[in-house]
Amino acid sequence: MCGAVERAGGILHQLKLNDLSVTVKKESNIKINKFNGAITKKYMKDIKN
Amino acid sequence: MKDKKIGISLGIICFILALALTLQIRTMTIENSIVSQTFANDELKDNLLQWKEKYEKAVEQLDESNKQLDVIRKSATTNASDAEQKTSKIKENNMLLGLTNVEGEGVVIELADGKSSSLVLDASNLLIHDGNLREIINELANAGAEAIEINGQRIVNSTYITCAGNVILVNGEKISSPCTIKAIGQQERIVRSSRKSRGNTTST
Repeated sequence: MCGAVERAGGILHQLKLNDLSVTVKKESNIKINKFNGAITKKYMKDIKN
Repeated sequence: MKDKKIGISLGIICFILALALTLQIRTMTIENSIVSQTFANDELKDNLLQWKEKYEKAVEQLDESNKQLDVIRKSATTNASDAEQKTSKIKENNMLLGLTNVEGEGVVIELADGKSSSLVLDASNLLIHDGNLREIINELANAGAEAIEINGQRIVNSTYITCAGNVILVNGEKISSPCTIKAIGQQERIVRSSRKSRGNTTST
């Protein structure tokens, strides 16, 4: 219920109401780089079936 | 006279002996020659038989090697197909995990802190907070965005967004206003989701 009230106009709308600058652009060729952090595998192990 | 007869007889005997000896030597030579030829022929025959056996063995080995080669070729072809499938699966998984660069159609959201206004009672509302970014990420993911990035930081399943003083940490990296959020996915769906009902975001 709380979430529904908060998101009545969408999160971007809420931010805009707070006088934040919000613009949404559609682009046909967006490039997103790969994750450059580390994914650790120290404690987890594969479960063999 | 008697001595002459004896001498002639001895001479004849010697001649006959010499003739016999010569004949014997000739016969021996011819026989030896025939025997040696026979031996040579036998040796050649033996050699020929040995080489034939070797040739047959080599042909058998060749046949066997060809069969093994066929088996290896078939196995290699099967393995290549397996390897190709595995490589393709790894690529796909890496893409889903955010471990590869990706491109495609989508939406770019520019978000910046607001300017002070007398209408805004709480100055904190003018700033971008970590919670705002989390909500936007949730919204985008909910709208089917396949890849999301905030100021160059790719959002993956281990990403965390927290506040650290006056900056926001995304994947442990500090970011601040303005924030550029890129999302690859179905444009209309993402834009509709970000606007929702009564929404009035600027769409260009």
